[in-house]
Amino acid sequence: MAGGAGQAEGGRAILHVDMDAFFASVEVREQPQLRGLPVLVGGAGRRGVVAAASYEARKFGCRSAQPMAVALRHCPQAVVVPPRHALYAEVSRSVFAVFERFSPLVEGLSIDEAFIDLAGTERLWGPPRGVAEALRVAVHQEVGLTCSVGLASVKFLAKIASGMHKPDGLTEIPAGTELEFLTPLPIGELWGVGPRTQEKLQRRGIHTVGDMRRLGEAALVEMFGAHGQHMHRLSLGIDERPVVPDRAAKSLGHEDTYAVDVVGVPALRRCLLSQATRVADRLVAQGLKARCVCLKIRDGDFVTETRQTTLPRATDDYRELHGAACRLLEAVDTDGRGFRLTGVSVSQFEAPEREVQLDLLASAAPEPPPRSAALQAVLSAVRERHGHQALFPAEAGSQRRLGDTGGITHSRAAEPVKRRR
Amino acid sequence: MEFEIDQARFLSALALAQTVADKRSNNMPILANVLLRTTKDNRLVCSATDMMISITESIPVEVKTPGALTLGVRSLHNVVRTLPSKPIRVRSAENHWAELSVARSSFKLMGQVHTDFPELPDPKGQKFITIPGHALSDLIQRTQFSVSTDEARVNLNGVLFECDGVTGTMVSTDGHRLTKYSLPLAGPKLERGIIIPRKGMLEIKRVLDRVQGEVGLAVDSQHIFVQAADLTLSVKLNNVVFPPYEKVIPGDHKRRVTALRDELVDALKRAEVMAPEKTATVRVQLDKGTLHLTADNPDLGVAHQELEIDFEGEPLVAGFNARYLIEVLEAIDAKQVWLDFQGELDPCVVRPVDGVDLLGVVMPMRI
Repeated sequence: MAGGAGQAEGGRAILHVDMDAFFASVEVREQPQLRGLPVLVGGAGRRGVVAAASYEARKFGCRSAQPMAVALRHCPQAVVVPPRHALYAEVSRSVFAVFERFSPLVEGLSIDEAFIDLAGTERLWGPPRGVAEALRVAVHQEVGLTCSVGLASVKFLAKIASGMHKPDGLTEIPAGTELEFLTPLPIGELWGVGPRTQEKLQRRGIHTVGDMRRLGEAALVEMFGAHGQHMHRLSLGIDERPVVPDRAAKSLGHEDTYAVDVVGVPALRRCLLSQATRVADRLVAQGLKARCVCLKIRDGDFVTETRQTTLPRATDDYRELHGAACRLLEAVDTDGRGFRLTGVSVSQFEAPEREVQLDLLASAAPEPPPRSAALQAVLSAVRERHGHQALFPAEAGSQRRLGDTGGITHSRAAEPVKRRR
Repeated sequence: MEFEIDQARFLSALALAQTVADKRSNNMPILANVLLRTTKDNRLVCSATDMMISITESIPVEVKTPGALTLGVRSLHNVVRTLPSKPIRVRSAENHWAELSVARSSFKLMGQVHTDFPELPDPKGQKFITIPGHALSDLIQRTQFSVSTDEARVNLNGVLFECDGVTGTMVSTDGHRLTKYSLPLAGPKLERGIIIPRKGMLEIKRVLDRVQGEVGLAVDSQHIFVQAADLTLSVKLNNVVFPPYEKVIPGDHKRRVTALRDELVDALKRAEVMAPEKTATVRVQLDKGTLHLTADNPDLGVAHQELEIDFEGEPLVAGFNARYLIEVLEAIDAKQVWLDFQGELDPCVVRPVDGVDLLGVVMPMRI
């Protein structure tokens, strides 16, 4: 059913829920003495980046993704808290558990953001607006965090709406008022209209969604191709994309930025081992195996190289991932270069096969791969329960110590990464 | 340096050098080059290497001034390819540039410092044994398909070569199947087997296929050398331990199929079309006198075929990768083949009833 303009009853009701300053709010919940203070979550080192800023800090102009040094210039009195991603993942799981009580159709966009389709929940929970309010109350009471909710007939409007009254707000775009809402909206607010598209349109005098609608489909297609058609539909409030629960990620990865440049192949290999281990854990957690391994490496001059290789068979074994990453590293000129970032990611997922090719040499030679499946499962299970530091390859040890002392920021890879559940 | 060289002769040397040179090395850009060096006896020596495989070819030329040059092999090859089949005059210029001229066309190519070019393994002092080139080529041809391409399994990334001075044997395995092929070969006598990496064995075959007749073969602790006509090829050996392959070749069998090779290959190829693309799984069912071959693909459909065979033993159903069976059967030059089985999860041994000394071991799939 399309959520078109002027559509009234019987239309879709979609919530977009966005946790307010998620990482910072979790830290405030854990450390009540921080309440009311400007809090910045992120690496404190000279290369740290703000992962989240509390609303108190935002008043000073601090934002997430800002270099920590810049944020501290805006707000020198801010309290800097190193990120605890395992904790956030755990809190995220609790938050999503609340969402899932209200509807089975929950699509996670990231660790702190989700679409929820309320289709078919009316008889159980009543009208959508009431559900949205109940959900906000439930999250606050059970998890102790606030969130902002947008309610609309289609996904992109729900997303815009959730950002209108932040923090702790609820914004509804009632069915039938979509066009009225969209017409004065600046085009940059539309999902998929980035700075370049915006600039191109503004040169033609298009500033609002209303202007864009009047420009017409033909002109938009001429300017932007197939994307133009999509934009035209958005300007009419049409967005048929369904809420897809548990959207399957195309790749997953882990990368680290180091406070001090990493020099030399042995040290780089240790960094990659720690990352391969984390990637393997996530593959195991999701019951996936991957065939394509990608190495990302960035040197002190911000020159980034990526290299990838396809394995002959899909794997979730950290040693195979690490081996592949190290072979990719051999193709990188490491002489005289220091590296500020390394990362390992995997793609080309395969579900476990029905038929299994048996190994000829398993009995004759000390070939690790077939036997290591059990080992990987145990390692991953221990880390899932006790955290990443509980058990890791000894060779990855020195890298970890660097992390404890040097303000390393652990960031997830830029690729769409599946939320950990 | 200055010399004059026949275009066709130059082109063929560069074509070979180009397959060996490492055009993508970040660490040693010099490896994307060919080293051209004149000798006192009016010859040009062309060398290329990727540090694993090295090739040197000596060509008669007319040397005007002796010297050496190092040029990017890809661009030099591209230039020479387009030139008319006439003598090409090559001259070194200042700052490692080179000038090529034919009639009224001339090219200037930027080169590199020739002294940076790495030293290649020296075949001098090696004891070369003369063997028929086609024998070595045949050994490679019939075993190369089951060499592992999995870079993580370093000890399987090459073919094992054994020779006692009378018989030469090559063995390859990718962990799922194994191929062993022997033929009469007069050396070189090896104390223990050597592992020739996959890329090297293919390069050896490429060289052997270009020359006719006898070739020289020598092995030291690091390299295998092949000398054919004016060519010398050296391949760095994989210094790893090949798995104890004899242990995985079953000594006896409980079931034996005797089948016509061509018929079986054709049926497998038809089944492969329908089999799941990734695993190529086919179901082999053996009954008295009949082999049933079924390929079942949830996305496409089902193929079922029956073949008349001789069969000794209890009925059996097992899954196999059709490609593995096809490749080993195609390597066997024989009218009739034996397929020996034990149980449904045990390896199957494929060999000719009469003919070449080749044996394939194929592990089944659990279906």
